[in-house]
Amino acid sequence: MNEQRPAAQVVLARNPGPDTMRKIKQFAESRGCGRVNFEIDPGIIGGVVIYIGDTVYDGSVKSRLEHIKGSL
Amino acid sequence: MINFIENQVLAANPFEALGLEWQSIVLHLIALVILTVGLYLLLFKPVKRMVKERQEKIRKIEQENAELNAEVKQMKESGEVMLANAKKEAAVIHENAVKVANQKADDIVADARRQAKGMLDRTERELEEERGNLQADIEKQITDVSVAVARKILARDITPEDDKKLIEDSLARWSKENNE
Amino acid sequence: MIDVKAIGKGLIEKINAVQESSDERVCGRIVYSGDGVVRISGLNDARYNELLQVHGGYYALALNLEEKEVGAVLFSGEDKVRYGDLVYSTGQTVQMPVGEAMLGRIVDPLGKPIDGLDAIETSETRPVEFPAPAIMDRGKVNKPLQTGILAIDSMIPIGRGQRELIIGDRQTGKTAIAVDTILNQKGEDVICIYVSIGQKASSLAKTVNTLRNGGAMDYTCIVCSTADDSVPMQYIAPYSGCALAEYFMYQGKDVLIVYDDLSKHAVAYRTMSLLLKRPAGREAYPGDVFYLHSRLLERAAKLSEEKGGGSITALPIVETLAGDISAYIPTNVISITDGQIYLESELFNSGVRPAVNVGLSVSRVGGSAQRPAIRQISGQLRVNLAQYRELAIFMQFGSDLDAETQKTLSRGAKMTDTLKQRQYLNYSVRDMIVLLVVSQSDLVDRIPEKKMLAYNDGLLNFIRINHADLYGQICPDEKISDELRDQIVSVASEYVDCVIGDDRPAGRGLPEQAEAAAEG
Repeated sequence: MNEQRPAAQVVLARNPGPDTMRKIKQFAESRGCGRVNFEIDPGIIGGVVIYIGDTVYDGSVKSRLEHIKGSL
Repeated sequence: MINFIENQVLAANPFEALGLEWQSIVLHLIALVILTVGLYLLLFKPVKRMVKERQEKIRKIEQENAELNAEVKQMKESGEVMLANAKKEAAVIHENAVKVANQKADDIVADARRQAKGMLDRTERELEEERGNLQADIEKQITDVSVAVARKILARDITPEDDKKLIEDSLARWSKENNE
Repeated sequence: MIDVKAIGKGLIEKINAVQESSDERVCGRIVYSGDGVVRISGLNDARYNELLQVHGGYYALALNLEEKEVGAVLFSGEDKVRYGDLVYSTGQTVQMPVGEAMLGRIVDPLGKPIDGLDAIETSETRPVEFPAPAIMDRGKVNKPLQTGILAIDSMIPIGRGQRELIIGDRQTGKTAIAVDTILNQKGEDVICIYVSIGQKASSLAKTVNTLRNGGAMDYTCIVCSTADDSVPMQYIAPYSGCALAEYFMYQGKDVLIVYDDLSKHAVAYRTMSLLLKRPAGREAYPGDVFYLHSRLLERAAKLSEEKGGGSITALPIVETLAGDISAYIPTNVISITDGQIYLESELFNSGVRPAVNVGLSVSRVGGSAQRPAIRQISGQLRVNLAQYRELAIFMQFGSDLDAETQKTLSRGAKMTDTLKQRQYLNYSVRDMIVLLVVSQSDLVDRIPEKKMLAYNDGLLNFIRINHADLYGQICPDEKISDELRDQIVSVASEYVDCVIGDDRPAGRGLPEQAEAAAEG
């Protein structure tokens, strides 16, 4: 059942707690995802980036800083 | 004998006394007349005619001369009139040309002025923009520095709780967006 | 001079005003990047010609939609994007900012200013690819677009809403004609757009300078994509210019747009197609190179009164090699446009400038795009010039010609001289009427051939300044009455005396006087 659904790629800055992981998995499933792959990348400083299929949900601090920088 | 001579003297006319006979005198006279008439007809008349022709010719030449003189005088006058006209025309043309030249000069000067003004305006605007660019550059530098600083601080200072809160906030927001 | 505190305060305000962006975006990843072409995996909903944003602020145009990938061409940053970079879709096709603020500026095909001045604030954008006006929306072309060049306005008249191709070899004066036309639109309420595709930056700088000095920048916008720009920029440059023109056309204004030149545009498109691995056709151009130009030129039209009555007049320029107008691109564009102005390098080199070959040039709109006065006078012009050209070959035989032929030859040569015109010297409509009336009257027989040019120059000044009232009586929108024609000819003959004064032949006045004096 889960094989037809796309896999989600999640990037976090540090190891998440189980609470967080559960919430993320919930979100991913609500968007129609099967597996969830977790990745740790301190480069995003904070927040979370979720790639589902073609769509990216970018809530990382890094991208927010860049957004501010871009609008100045 | 003496009677003969006296008779001759008394009886004869003076001509006879001179030993001339009146017949020969008359003949001489007639001869003279004939000669005169002959000379007149043969010599005098042609000569007179030639002289008259000559006089005619001279008179004609004089007349022509007089005419030519009159013509020359007239031409001179008309020439002067034409010269005067030409001078007047030339003056008019000159005046026109001067007007045209002045107008062109005005045009050129106006053009040059306009270009100069354009250049000045442009230079002013460019100076303004230089200043604006400089300002923008400084802003950018400040921005870069601030963001770099912020990044460093955040990387060090974000606590796990903050991070968790961030993540949960994001998830909530995205769920809400999708449900709207 | 520069207030640092104010900068600081401004920045803080801006930071506070930063809006939260919607973090949800559709994206793909680059799986191949090379030669300005990127292949993107993902982005399944990308549409044809959609504008894509590559991580780093670069833009790309989606052109190849395949099963698993999207092929896109980068507008900039070909050396900066890397494998794995994210590519976001913007959801829109390429847009060009449009508005009155664009006039007087030099912009690139995406609307960014490149003249060093401040950013352009416009409220509207228009899509770069837009369908041409429908058939029922079009009106008849009946208003003339005066180029100020006598040879063109008299025999190859251009109307507002027409497409007229300027075609010729290199260095024959194609751009010069276009620039002169733009300069002549001063005060005519026509907006001009000059699109430069793949030109040298130095030539463009010269053109810009000319337009600035002529005061034409107030109503002109320059869309430029020089030869060092990436190929996709050169590809969309004419379409961007056309989008800007359409903005004004749909407001009811008249626009003149010059595409300089379309041969380089076709070459840029060929480069792009070959890199996208599309099949090559004749001369390696892709199969749709005709469509490339036809959809561009069809957007230039005259709208009907219900739609506002605006128009776009297009002057595309095509460069030929060795005068071959039967090559691929020239024949394509000739069949699309409503006529061509054919410039020959032989004529140019022999001093006939503008080097217009009157025989091969044609304007399919013709007389309905001419002011009535000019139409009346230039009716016989083409025929006379054609006869002259036929006879001109016999000129080489010298003097063994009958008087009639010699007269035709001499008049033809003088007419050709009249049609010569210096660059940047534009004739107003009245000037043209005067020149045409005089050069077709018997007056020209009195003027020696070498003095014809000087005579024409001086005549216009003479009439304009010294006979301003007669000049003012000439009305271009009515036919010229015979009386007015005679007046013009008499004023011109006045001027003839001024010009040929020294060369007056003997026969009147002073020489005879001298003869008479010698006799007496």
